[in-house]
Amino acid sequence: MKFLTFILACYAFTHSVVQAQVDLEIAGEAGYESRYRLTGDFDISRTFVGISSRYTPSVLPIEFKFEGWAWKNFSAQQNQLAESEVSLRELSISQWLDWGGYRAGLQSVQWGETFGYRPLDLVQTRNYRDYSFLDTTRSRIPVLAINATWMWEDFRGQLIFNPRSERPILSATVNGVTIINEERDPSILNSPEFGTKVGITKEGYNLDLYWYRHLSRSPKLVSSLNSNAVPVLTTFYDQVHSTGGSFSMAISDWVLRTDALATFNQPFTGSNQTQTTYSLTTGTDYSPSSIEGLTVGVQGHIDRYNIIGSPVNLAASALVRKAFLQGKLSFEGQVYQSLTLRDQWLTLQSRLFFLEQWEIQLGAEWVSADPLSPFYFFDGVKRVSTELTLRF
Amino acid sequence: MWKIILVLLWSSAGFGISAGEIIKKTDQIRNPQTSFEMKVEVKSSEDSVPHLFSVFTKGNNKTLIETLSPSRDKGRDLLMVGENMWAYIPNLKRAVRVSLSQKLTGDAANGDISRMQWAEDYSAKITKDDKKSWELMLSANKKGLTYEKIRVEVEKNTYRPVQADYLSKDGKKLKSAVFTNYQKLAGENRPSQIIISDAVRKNQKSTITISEMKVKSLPNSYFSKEKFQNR
Repeated sequence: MKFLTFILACYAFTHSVVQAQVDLEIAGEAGYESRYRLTGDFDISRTFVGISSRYTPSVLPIEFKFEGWAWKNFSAQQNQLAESEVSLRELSISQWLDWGGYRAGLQSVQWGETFGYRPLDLVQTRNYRDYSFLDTTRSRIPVLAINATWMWEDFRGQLIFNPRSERPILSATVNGVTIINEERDPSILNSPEFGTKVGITKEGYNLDLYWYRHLSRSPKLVSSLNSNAVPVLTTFYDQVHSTGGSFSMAISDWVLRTDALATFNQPFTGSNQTQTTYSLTTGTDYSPSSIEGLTVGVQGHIDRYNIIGSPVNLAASALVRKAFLQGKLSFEGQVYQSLTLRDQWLTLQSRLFFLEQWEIQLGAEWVSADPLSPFYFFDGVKRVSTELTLRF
Repeated sequence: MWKIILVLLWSSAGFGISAGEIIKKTDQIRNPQTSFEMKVEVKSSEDSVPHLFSVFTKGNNKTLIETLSPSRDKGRDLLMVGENMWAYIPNLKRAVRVSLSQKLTGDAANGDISRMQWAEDYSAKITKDDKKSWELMLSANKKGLTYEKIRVEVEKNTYRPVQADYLSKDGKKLKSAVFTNYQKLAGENRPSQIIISDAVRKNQKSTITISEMKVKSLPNSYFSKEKFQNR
């Protein structure tokens, strides 16, 4: 019902805009996507409609943005999903002037430079219920925030204030064990989140430094038995402080990238104490100007997770991307291998554009994760995905 | 009196003008010196579908390129600030730092429509001076430009660019451009078409057509990474 209502509302909105001849940019996409486990179940089988619009009135230097999505899930019952879902992804107003600008409202904020899983991208929490390693960006849950930027020549400053924290959305079970959220004082769980970024862009390099106060993004898990003596995992979150930096630099066909993050007073699984976690990702990618559409990248990772007994994670990841036929056909592969934990994953993806507005995506993801790693939530994922999209 | 007339004739004929001044005047012909917006179509011999862009430029080091069509590339925008370039990847909803050598489409490099003022980026030297035109050799005076050297022919009477050869550091010809179809754009007669040919793959050509150009006040923050990251 929600799905149908969303489509009708989008149609009515678009029709009235066309009738009123308002100078509004509208873009949308509709299609079908599936993620099929090699064990024989659909994790996802759904149709979707997404619409985004941007409007700048001629009399005011402001911009309104909207983005909304609706899904109709065919595999709702076995995956404990609603039959139809609607998600508002952006509803914001912004103004950009010589000194800087601001955006207020529902929005996503991007921090960090590296590819793959990016802990520094922490302004918004994530929805891990239908998380895919093929697209780590879509899981972001937009925040209702005020986001202001100041500029002084090569320097920039950014302030973000989000009046209400939210917990990440986790899958209902991990390896068959039910996950439940601890009931906590809402004044802790829903406290404001805020922070700042200062940066400089000069002579081919970009350096940003960050600080953010937020609800921990990775939960502490406490194992117990429920009233029926069945094991359950209870999640526990607390307000924490994170600080970090990112650096990028382009040298000819090469781009160097580094993200670093440390989170203090983080609740640890297996401990009553809070401790510090950290993450460092650094690497480079190469896009030779002599070979059109080719990018090859490698990264090294050093992480300390919030799990007692987990060794410092040393890992390497690589990416290969190649476009053909002026970008109509592309292939991308990413691989991640930990040297100290049993974490490894592989993703393969191809995209083909045809008949101007159509796109077909085929993907595969294979994940194996260590119980001492936060990626254990996704251990054993072996699935193929398809997506057929019409862009309009 | 005769002396004054001779001086006027000398200066109007362009005698004694420096290479730097010539290239400044050529820049003024190519585009407005303030911030401006233009609609650009790029047709490539490799691709049957033309690409349409909205280009916003301020000074010589701030450019935002919005891809309007084809629909497969819509939203795949580029932000260039100095020697830094970011590409917005719509399906990732993310701006990604990319190298400056990444191509826009076909034989058209980003620099072909973003670095519109040679005088700031290159030091110029007159290498040929005949009745109708000058030939100037432009050498990059900063890192990270799309081309290390440009050999450009400028018409004497009008300071219009006629053609240019884009060269590597060692003088090897990479591409050629012909500036044609002069018409009224943003109040002046400017080249509305630039035909770019690959020097190695002779049959590969891209035609850049400027259909609309207007002077527009654009604030500095319009080109900020923070604004670009939320497209």
